Amino acid sequence: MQGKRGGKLMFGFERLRGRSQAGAAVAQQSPDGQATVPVVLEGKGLSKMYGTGDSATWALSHCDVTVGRGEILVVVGPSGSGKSTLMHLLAGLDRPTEGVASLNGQDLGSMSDAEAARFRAKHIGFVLQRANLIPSLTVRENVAAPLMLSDVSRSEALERADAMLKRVGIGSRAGAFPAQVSGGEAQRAAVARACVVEPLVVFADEPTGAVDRAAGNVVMDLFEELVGEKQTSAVIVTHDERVASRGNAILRMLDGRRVE
Amino acid sequence: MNLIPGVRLVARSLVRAFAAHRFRAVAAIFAGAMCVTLTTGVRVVAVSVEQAIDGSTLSSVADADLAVVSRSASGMGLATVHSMHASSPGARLAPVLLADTRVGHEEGDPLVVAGVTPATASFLPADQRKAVRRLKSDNSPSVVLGRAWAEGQGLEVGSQLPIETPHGHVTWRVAALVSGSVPNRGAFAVAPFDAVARAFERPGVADLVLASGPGSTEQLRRGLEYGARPTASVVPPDEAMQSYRNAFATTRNLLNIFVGIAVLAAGAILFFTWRLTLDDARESLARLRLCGARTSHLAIGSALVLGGIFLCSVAVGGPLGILLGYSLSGFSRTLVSLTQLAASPGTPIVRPLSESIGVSLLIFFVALAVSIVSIRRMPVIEAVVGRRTVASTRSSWTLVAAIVSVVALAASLAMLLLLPSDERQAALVPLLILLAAVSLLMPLLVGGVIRRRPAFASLAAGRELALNARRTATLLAVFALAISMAIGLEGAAGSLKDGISRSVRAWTIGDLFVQTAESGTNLQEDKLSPSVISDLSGIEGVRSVGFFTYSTVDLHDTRIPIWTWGPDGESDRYAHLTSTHGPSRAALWRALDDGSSVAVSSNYARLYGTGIGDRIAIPATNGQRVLKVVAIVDDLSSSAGMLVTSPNVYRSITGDGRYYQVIVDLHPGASTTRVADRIDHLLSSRYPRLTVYDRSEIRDRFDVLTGQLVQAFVVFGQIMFLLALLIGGATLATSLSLRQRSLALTRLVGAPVGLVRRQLLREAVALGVAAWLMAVPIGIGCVYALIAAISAQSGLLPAAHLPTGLIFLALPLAVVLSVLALLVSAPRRRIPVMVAALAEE
Repeated sequence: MQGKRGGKLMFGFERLRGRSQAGAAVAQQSPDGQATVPVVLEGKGLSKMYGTGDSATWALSHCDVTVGRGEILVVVGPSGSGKSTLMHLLAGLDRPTEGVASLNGQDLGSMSDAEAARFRAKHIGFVLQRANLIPSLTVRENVAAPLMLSDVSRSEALERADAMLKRVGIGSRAGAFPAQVSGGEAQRAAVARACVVEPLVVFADEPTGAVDRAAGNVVMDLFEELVGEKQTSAVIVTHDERVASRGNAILRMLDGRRVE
Repeated sequence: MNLIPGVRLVARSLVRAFAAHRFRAVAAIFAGAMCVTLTTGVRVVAVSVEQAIDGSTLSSVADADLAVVSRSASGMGLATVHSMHASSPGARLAPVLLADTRVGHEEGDPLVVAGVTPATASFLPADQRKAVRRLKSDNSPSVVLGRAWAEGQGLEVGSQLPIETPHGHVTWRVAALVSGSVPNRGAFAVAPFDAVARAFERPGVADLVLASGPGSTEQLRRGLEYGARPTASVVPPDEAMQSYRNAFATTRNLLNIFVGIAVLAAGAILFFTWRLTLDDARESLARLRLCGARTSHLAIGSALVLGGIFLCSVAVGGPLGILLGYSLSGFSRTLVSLTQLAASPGTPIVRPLSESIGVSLLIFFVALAVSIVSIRRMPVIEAVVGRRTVASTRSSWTLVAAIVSVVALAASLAMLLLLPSDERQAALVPLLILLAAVSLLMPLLVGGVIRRRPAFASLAAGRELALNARRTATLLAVFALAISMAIGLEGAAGSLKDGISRSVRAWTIGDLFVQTAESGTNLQEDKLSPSVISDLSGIEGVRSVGFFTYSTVDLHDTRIPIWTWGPDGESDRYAHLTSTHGPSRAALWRALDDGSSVAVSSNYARLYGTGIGDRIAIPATNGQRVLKVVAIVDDLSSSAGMLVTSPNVYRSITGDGRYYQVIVDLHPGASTTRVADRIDHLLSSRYPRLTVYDRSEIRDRFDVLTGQLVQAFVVFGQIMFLLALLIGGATLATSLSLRQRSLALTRLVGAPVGLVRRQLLREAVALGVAAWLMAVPIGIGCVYALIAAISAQSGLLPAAHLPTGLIFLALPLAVVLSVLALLVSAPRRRIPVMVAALAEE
């Protein structure tokens, strides 16, 4: 990954160009032009440097991002382009070297570990490329985990998990362990877990990268359906153009910078 | 792939897998080092005692075809020697009289004095013959000493050597110093036969006869046996002390048991850590196979890495083992002192170290064999598809474990309840099988209980314990084994100590006990003259004076003590012996007074299958006495068993009128301190190391002596805890490393670090509690089984006392052990940074 300092990335500016115009319209103004869609996720001047001294590299450089409520932002780029770094900063999993990431107006970088964990449990969902599920919990318990960590009672959490698993079509696999389900089933369970808390935003890092095309389509269909239903925002990092076409807006990156 | 490059690649992968988990590497090296250390230390003690015993007599350096050894510690009569002359015409025979005593100075170094005739000189090395032939037996007899020892004592030719005798000190003139082989590591004085007999009040007897014959050795043997039996045994010269070595066998076997357990435990640590290393390196090794590495590359590479660990273990453990051996030299000396020989134990290094290296090499070979089996099972396709693990909380092995548990439990209970007390050691096998089988089931049970609690941390902890049942079972088995062995060893040791203490109290009922030296340091000649009785009777405050004395006889190829209390007709005043069979107390002594009876201790009866009415042929100075067993005495103080006779019978067997201990009864109201001082004033000039104990002091002294011997059990239990901590820490460290992503995912979905720590802590506490629940019943069973194992060795069968304090203390200890193992595995460093743990390849 190589990035050079300088070169601002203006997400809003990107969406006024090319195929992202509709997305830009959602972020800034509702389709009927009547009201502004609230910004759920915002990154201002986000930069991330790894290493020190002569070995320091900027993986991300001065990136501004806004994601409105219900919007699906797709971040595309080759390996090492900084897209995962951007996602980690936006999700509060890592602290930026410069800049601020805020979700629903809350600065994620200033929270303590306990506050951040609670916030994640209630407001953020994650779908990773593979091995999403905690191996020692059943599929049902995996899906219920964020609910239980949000102080929902265990019985209610498990009930809601069962309902969500049925929604994504793997209700019969609720009692299985992750090692006993297929890759596609595991990804559907991950989507269920990400959405069961009705989060503000779901971050998905290559959600179809480890499954076949058919399973990938099913996963993305479910994803779109669940986030659309509750006006959940989403940030999807992918290098798969088919996945990219599912988003409202696209952000292209290369070597830590925007690509024209 | 060529051999050397292939081997190098494999070795490098394994070394990196090992080094990536430093704690595991430390644990493996520590295990190997501990094996070498403990084995060396214990073998130094055992070998030093054996070598001291073997080297303490003249036959160890003499050039003789055979040795005739008296079966009584009081010696064989000269009539027996004459009989052998007659039955072996033409044979060269040289009688030797041995006295185990001390140099008569403050330090009181042990010294063997050998009384010899001029005929003995022909059996000695050439450079010693002339000196021995010139020995004079006059008023100040001459003595020949080893040069090195004499110079260490500040003696030279013409010096006066002070020696302790039953009459007090005598001084003998140093006639010559000899170099070359001298028995007893130099602490050996050769003097004229008659002078030794006079000085030690042993007229008309010899302890040893050196023999060489004109014909074959077998011919000579037959002739000698005809003349010597039953008073003496005919043996090769290097087996002259065999019966004394056999008397040490019980202690030696117990020491070997400790070594065995230490080796097994070290082997277990090595096995687990190496197995985990192979698991970690499995992916790399599979990919190497994909590239062309053969099984031989993998096997040799494994051998190289294990060899490196082995060398590190030896480098660390060898010096530590030698240091341990040196630090245990006091214990060696105590063991030698208990034989009452003036043997001088050294600190042998080469043989114990070689044996320990050999033993640890064995466990490394086992680990290597495991590697090779595991490697051969590694399919190449794993390099492509990875290792498929199927998580399941139930599988076929669960049912097998359940069945095995039930069968093992039934077998254990049956053996403990139905077998005779001295056969229950067989229960150790099903008990250990039960422990292993239950450890496979407990994770499911414990995990199932914990995960039902409402907290998420409990759910996660319970699932983790149950899902990784094999790893959890390993930890449980290790912790439970440590706790159960600690309970078993403490219980067995405590029961033995209590039993011995009870026995001691039966015969320490006088007010004062007078000895020539402290208990536990007495040598065979450390005895009081009979005149002491009348000397002490005249002291104000003294109501009566009795005695206790003992000797040993060679029965069943070992030295059996023969005890008596007196004077005749008053034995019950000084020893309240109770019997398990036959008469007790005064009735016992009346039965023994008939002159043809003997009582045996309970462990003697058990060891040799002796019952009431049986007859025992006891070797005497000339011939033997056949005595009828009239009682089995409940006494645990001698590990080889013992015989009790009346004073009359004792004298007729041993011909020895001296006393090991004089017992003083005081008038009511008399001051023990004043009388003790008076006794000391009266006798200390004759007996410079005179010791006067009151009742509580002598009981405490025996408690200390017993405590020293059983302390090894307790220390061993503590070592088991330490080993469990090491294994637990190594296993937990690996487990946490493998759970990096899982823990990161837990944090990702909203668990704070504190909750993850709580989860880990709950797992550790659950492990500790589960281990305790398993260990307590098994440990209780082990108490009875270990007592039976001790009984199989020594016949001693104390009443079992359960260590209730330790049983309850073991619960918090088990939890602390488990939590410590978690802390040692450094969980703080192992709760991952989410981003790093979740990063895709």
